[in-house]
Amino acid sequence: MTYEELKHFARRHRTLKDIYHAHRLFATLGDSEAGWIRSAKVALLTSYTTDFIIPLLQTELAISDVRCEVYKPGFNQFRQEILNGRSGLYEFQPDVSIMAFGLEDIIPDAVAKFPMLSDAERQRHKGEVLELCESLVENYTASAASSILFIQNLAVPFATFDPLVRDGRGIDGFVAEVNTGLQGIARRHSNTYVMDYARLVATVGAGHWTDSRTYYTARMPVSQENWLAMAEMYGKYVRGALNMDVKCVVLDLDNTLWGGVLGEDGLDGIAVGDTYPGNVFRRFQEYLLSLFAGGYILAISSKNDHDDVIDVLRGHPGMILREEHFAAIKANWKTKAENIREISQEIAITPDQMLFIDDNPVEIANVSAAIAGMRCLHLQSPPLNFQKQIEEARCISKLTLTEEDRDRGRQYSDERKRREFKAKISSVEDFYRDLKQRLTIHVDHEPHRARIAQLSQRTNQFNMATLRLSEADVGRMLASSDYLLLTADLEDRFGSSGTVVYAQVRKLERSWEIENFLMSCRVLGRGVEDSVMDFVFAEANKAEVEAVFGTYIPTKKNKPFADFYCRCGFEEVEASGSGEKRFGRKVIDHVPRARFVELSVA
Amino acid sequence: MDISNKVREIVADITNNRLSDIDENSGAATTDGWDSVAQINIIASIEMEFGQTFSAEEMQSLDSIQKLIPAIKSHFPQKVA
Repeated sequence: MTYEELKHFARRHRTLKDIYHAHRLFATLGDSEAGWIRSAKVALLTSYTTDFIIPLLQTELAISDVRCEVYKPGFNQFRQEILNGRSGLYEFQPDVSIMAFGLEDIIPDAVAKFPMLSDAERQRHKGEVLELCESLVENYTASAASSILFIQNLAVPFATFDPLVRDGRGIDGFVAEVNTGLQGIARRHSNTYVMDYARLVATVGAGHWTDSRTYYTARMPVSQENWLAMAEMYGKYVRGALNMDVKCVVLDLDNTLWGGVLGEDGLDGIAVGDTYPGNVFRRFQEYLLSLFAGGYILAISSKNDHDDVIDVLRGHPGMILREEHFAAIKANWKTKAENIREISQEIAITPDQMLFIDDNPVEIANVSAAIAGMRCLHLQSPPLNFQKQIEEARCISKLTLTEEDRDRGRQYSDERKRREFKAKISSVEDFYRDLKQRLTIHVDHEPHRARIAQLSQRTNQFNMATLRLSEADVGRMLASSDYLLLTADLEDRFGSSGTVVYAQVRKLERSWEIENFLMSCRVLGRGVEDSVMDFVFAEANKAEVEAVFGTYIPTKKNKPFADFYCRCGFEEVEASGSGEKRFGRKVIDHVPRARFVELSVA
Repeated sequence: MDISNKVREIVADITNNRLSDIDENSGAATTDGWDSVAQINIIASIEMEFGQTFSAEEMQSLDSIQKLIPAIKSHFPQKVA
């Protein structure tokens, strides 16, 4: 099987036998045959046997084009490895670590005699577990600062006893309190998150989670029946840590967002509302709305008359999704591939970061043949399972929601209104003048720490050096007097676009180095980057340095912006064989270039 | 595919051996990669594949092709006699 066939096979054949088979075949592929996009080093730091998950996790990630290397300390060695800064764990340099322990392994006596414990003893044991966990996390984050750590929360230990009535004093109450404590630990440490193991156990059903045979013979808390579900969850978190999500979901309408065909059944005839089958589509729209609220961009590509679609979006009482939730609405009779290309250009998101979903297999086949790298999902009947099918497409795995995420959908929708406004105005200059853009620059602004890390991870096109930063990396630079970190927020008559520019400047004695300069693509072509560059030079002038230098490192995606420094008046001073270039400009030579942006400093 | 081939394939994939290296004489004692972890994986795969359940004792003791095949057949006497 080829790499693509193998991925397809592993997606479709969800039995242990077939996944082990796929795992072995993936391992035999040469690097030139495989299409790895990312690689990930994952460490499993667990108090119980997790060997079973390694091949399954590797296969799970291979489906998403991630080559995964796994490190696992010897049996029950995970504490020593985390505490010893020179252990094999840190030598491995994990990108992601998953820490998991069972109460039976950490406080076995307390679990065994739980019903006998006094309240004070329970409190003491809880403190003991959380202190242990916190000290492990502290040591880990000190020695592997730029990696991401997941702490698996706890499920109620297997075959323990609780009275029927829940009064908080049973072991289930104890587990719930420890889990709340784990969330506190995660909040106190950067790059540390709780992995919701308890929810997976609950979803599968606690009674089906453990197999007593392997529990007693091999100390294994997870039944073999659930290994794949476990690997799928791990895969989801690792993809989340690697930021591999799509940014935009392009939706078909007929029989996808509602039941029936608008052109034939009319506004009153389509199914979306309170009763079956309309309630199925309504709930599916609620799911899509939650994606919108999570920062995923929604767009429409539908073969319908535009006005009919707008009527439904504005006036159908059963609809959850409305005009304001879409960054682009393409309802016409062009091919979907054409429409998707247009959407991609308009919202500046490349097709490989878009997911196209349609109930019509012919459309899916056409689009995936026409647009390389486009991710396509054929929604299969019945619509009852649409949400599950999207979840299984391995495109959605967001770890946390930033303020920016919550606001992103609205910004793209505003951007659509801007385009519509622009189309009505005769000259580009008039457009920008009427836009009334206001840019606010923040200098070393601690509250932007998470946003800077996110921008560095998400921005692929206008990104001069593509330095991917963790929050901890940003924190170190914010604390250092050697760095000037600039962020810029853009607003105009249609609303706020949020933080859209990040410049990382290293201050040397006689010159400044722009180590990276990036801008969110949705504000391309509005002169924002020029304003920020003017600001850099104004500050450099105040600091009395002689020159400013900037570095461009080419990637697959940032070539269109290779001339950014030249456009700003820089001259090339150095070039390497790999295409990396360094540019420089004397501070006194700089002439401000910004035209349509009103600048202020926060 | 008959039971024997399917079992050999499972064992080969999990122990990371070529299918041709796994025959009726293969077992934990003689086959590279057939360790205690592989043993659990092999039993788990076979249970899922053939839809049956071994006892905790069998999970540990059925550690060769010669022991596995009759055990699988004995769970389905009427189908695959």
